[in-house]
Amino acid sequence: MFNTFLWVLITSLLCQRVICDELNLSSTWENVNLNRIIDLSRSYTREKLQITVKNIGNKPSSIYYLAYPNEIISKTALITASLGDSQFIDAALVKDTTTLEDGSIIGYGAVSFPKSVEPGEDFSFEVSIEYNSCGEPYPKHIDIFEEQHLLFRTGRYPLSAYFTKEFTLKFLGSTSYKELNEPQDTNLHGTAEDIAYSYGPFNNIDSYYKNDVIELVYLHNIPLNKVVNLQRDIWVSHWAGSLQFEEYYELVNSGAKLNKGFSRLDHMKKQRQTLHGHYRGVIDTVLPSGAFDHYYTDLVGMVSTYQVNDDHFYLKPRYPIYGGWKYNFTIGWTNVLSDFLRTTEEKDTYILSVPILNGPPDTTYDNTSVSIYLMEGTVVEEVDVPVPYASVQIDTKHSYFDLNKGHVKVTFNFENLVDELRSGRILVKYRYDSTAFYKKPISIASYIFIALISFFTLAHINLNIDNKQK
Amino acid sequence: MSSPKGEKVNNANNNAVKEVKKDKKVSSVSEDFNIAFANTWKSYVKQLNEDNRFKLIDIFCLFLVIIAAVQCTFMITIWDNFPFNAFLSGFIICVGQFVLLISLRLQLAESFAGISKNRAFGEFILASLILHFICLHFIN
Amino acid sequence: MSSVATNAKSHTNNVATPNWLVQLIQTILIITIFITIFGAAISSRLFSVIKFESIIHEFDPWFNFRATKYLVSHSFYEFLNWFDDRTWYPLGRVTGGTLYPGLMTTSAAIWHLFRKIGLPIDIRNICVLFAPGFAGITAWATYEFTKEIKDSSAGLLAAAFIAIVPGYISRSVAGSYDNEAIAITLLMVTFMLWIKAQKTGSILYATSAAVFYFYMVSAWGGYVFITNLIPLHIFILILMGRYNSRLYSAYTTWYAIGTLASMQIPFVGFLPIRSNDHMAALGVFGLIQIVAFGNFVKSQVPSEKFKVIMVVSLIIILGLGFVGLFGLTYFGFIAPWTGRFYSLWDTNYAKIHIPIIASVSEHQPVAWPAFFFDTHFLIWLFPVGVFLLFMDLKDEHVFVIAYSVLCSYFTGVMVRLMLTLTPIVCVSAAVALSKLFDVYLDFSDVVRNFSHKDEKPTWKFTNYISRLFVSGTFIFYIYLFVFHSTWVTRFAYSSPSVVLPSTNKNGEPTLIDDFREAYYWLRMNTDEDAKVAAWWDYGYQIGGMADRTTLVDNNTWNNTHIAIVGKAMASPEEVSYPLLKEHDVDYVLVIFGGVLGFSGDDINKFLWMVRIAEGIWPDEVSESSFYNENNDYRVDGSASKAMKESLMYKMSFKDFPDLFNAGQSQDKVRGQTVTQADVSPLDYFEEVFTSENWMVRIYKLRDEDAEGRDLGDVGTFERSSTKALKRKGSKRPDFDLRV
Repeated sequence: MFNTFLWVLITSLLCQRVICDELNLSSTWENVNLNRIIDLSRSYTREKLQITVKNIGNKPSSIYYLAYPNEIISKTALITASLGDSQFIDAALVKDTTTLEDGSIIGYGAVSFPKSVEPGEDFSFEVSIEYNSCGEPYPKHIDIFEEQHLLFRTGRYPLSAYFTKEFTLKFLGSTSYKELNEPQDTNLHGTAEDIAYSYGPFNNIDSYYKNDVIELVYLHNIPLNKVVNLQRDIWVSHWAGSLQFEEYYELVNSGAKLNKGFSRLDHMKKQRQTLHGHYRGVIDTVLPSGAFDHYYTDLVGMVSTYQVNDDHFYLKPRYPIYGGWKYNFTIGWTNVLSDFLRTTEEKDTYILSVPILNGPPDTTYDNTSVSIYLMEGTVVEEVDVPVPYASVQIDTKHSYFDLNKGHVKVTFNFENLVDELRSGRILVKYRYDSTAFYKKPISIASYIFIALISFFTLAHINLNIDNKQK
Repeated sequence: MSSPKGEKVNNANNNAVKEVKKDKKVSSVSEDFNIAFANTWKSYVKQLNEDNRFKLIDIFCLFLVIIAAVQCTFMITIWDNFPFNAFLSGFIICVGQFVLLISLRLQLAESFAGISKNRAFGEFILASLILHFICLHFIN
Repeated sequence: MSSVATNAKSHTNNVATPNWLVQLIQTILIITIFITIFGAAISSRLFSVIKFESIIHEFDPWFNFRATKYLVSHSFYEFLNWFDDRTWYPLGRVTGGTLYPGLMTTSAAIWHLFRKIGLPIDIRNICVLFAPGFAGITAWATYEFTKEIKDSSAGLLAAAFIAIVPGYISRSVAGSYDNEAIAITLLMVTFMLWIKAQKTGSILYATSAAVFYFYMVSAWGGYVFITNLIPLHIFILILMGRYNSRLYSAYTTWYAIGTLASMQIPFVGFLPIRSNDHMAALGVFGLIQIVAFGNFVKSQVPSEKFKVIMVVSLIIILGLGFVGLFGLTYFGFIAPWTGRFYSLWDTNYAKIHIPIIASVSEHQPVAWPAFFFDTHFLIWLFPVGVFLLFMDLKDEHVFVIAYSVLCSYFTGVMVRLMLTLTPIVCVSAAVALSKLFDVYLDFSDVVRNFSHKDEKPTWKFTNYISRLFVSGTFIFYIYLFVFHSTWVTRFAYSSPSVVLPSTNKNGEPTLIDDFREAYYWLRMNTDEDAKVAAWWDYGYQIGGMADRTTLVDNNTWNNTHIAIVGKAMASPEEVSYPLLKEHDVDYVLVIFGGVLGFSGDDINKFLWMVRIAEGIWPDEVSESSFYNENNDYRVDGSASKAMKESLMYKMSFKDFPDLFNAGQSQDKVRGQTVTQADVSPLDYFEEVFTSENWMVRIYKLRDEDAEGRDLGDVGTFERSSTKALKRKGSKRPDFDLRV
């Protein structure tokens, strides 16, 4: 679903469009048909909107604004749009907001059509949006033997800047659903089918319609992986021809907490009954193929319980991670540099291409910092990142045998990533000439030489003093 | 507080000598002591006259003994040893310097095998420097 | 191994006519041998890293490691003034003033140095590899020391021995980041410099000895051994009438500078002039002044007259000295000997007066096989060496003899001191062996026979056979020694005791990592200010790994505080709960080995807790009530009432019987069957974590009841109301036991 086009599209965020707060959006478009499909199967939410719009204004238009509560906009990891047949079109978040009468703040995403739509014409497209929030545990505290349910809140009707003629809402990804405080009107009730739960269709809904909230409780008996902080270091070495990765995770299971203390006896019984539960027993990390020299440590030393199976690096945490429990750990591995490095026509210039993430599936990342350490004396010429980043900086860091300025360090900070961005790649174009390549061993050698010489000189000076005294 | 034995060697021994003399009242013993004392003094004076360096060292030693005694007296008069570390370092530096001087003196009188007199002096300087450094540190 | 073999060769060269080529070869040989010895010393200590990982071992090293981390992240000044409020809650500990900073300072200095030269090594790795590195230096110091005692061939042998002798390795494997790791090195360097100073009378050597003595004082409480041994050496020499001015200059310089310097360490403070442990040195200092003066007098007067003078004055002065010493001690100017000191003389002293000292396993008297285990064939060469030195009896030999005799006795009293005995065993054995080789490995006349063919060859065939036989035997012993050392190091001394080796059900080796599992859980999932009550053995580890505040730890400075924890563990929960609440405790941690068969668990240490608590509250806790009618210490159905009601028992065995089928719930350590009827439920505490093999169990103090009821009543009430509901899910868990 996500091919490389996508990355180019998202970068359009960088050239943000400005919409005026006072702009009367509702006079431009009308939603002829809006299908909202929410996938709840993961620890983050994936929405798919199938939209058919009609230009009801009097001039051609090519930009469509998606309205979302600002909480969701601020948690959004990814927004993409396509024409249904996987032909991607531009989509991005915008900074502007609208404050509704009840005080809630609405943020926007913008979709730019490949060509203007003439007044009166229809246009169909799809939008995918993923954001770092999902249902919250319901109830908040459960027993080891109980199953975990989550509570998801969203509007029964579409939140849109435009008038909507027909709307359907569908939830996916769980085997059991139950709406809390269901309204009297049975027309408003959802219907369950297999793994889906659908509402609607509802007709003729105003823009910014004062919404009625659905409180949907669904079964989600797997832990909610959330990485609060990820520090990802990538060390490039031309001398060794290797690319070393080291990742420090601050993982927390944001699922339901235990209502009593943790009883090992119950846990063992539970393990006997079923393999899965609302605790995290094994972390399955997918590494770039060809990884070797794996290690797995945490703040108190090495963790011996891990297995490497091809590209999978299975980590067993020291203890099962139940809801609310945290676990910080570090993993590392090495890859051959040539798999990630390309030379260019220009002399001594290389392009490094590394994945943004390698973590476990079904995981959200609040703050991610990716640092790429290039050799001493490297000049960074260009960087390219497929997802919007919070900040980027280039500085130096002293590592082993860095006797001069130290390794060149390029750091990207991201917010709100999800594991699906794993296939995204950071590109760094840099120049590293042969003088810099040879400078390092030579400087090490010269330092050792100086040290030895000074040692000998000191020895001689000592002798002299002795002689004088005699 | 233990008694500052280093400085009081001479006195202590002489006192002891006198006590022995009184107690035992054995004339031969007292005679022995007299002869010993006279001989020692004689050779000591002779040694002093031979080399001015000995004079210098001995005056320095005497000076150190006096300073140590003054410090002790002061502490006893005010009957308070606060700050104790300051007193202690003042006192010990006297003792330390004294024994270093004596060591040097012994070597100057009759140098040890393998260590020339000049080297002994160099070593003395070094050791004194270390001693003084530690004392300064201790005194705060 | 190779080093020992080549050593003999270098010795042969000594005998041959020296010329520059021979000298060159000799130098190269010695350098090669040293590199080999260094390699052997360091690599044999890396077993623990290879078998396990680069981890800090046992208990005390965790504190040292934590202090080092503090030193690295703070300034030295802050370190010395470090008040640690995360231990001994709520008292805290004046850590900066109550530790020996030598170890931490050294590793921090190494860390800074390495950073300067472009090697930013993790401080943990520096700490882990600290001991092996210093073991190499010890080998060098031992070489120099033995060289002064005999010659360089004995020195090389001694260096090779000390490098791999298990008695020393036991405290210096990689990860054993303890004071002893550096102290033995410093001990040998100080002694080496002292011997040199004593031999030459050089002020420089004496000063260096004093400086290293200072370093030693800053690193280990065992410095008192040097403080007493060197004066003893001098004293014996004086008694033997071997006084000379070299001794004067060496000793007085050493004492003046060394004593002054040692007072710079905050923990030592004014002890050197106040404590009786140090008085011998002061006494000898005074004595040598008198002797020096006497000697000066002696040179001037006839000897028979001098004798009388000397005897009379000596008696008076000694008398005065002793009276003064006793007087000062009596009036409290000088501290009397410490308890640990008394326990050196009387092995039962500690058991009666200070249970806390006796409860430490390394303060127990040594078991005799341990001597052989730790030093192998050196132990029987040791008396031979001492005897040979007796035959020679130079000034420096007196030192070795005094050292041997004193230390042999002390080692018999306290296992820990095996460590200080080991170097001298190596030295003496090396002396003995090298004397032997001097005679039996000397084949130079064979060479001579070959080179002078015109002379009539004197083939003494049987002579060569006997030589070959004797030297062959000893080389074989050396081989055995190397083999033994490797074996002992590998299997006995390389375990970090934080991680335990085991095999899983498929027979593959795995690690039992319960300690770290539980500590890490504490670190990750409890409040940062949470207070953890555990027996003091685990205090340093909780501080180091779990980073939580502890009530008591391995720095057992406050017996009462330890007794509080002991009492809490030994009392019924309704008594313990308010006691622990009073100390703001949030979590209680116990070690339980019954599932796995780990014998060093808290139930086995429990009697010590009871004894220590009894020492403070004899009315409330009594050891005898923990034995059943037959006077047995049991945990099964026949356990005493006090035992079953104690917090420790309940915490250890909670849920334990449910883990097995009825009747099979046997405690693997004690081999007794604990049934559900024996374990009454906990009302005041709630299990919050238990590690995979049940070794560490953490309980939380329940919050006080919202309705103000007593927690015990709440528990009883709830049990009675749910009695009707039978247990569901009574399936036995699949329990993957590791052996």
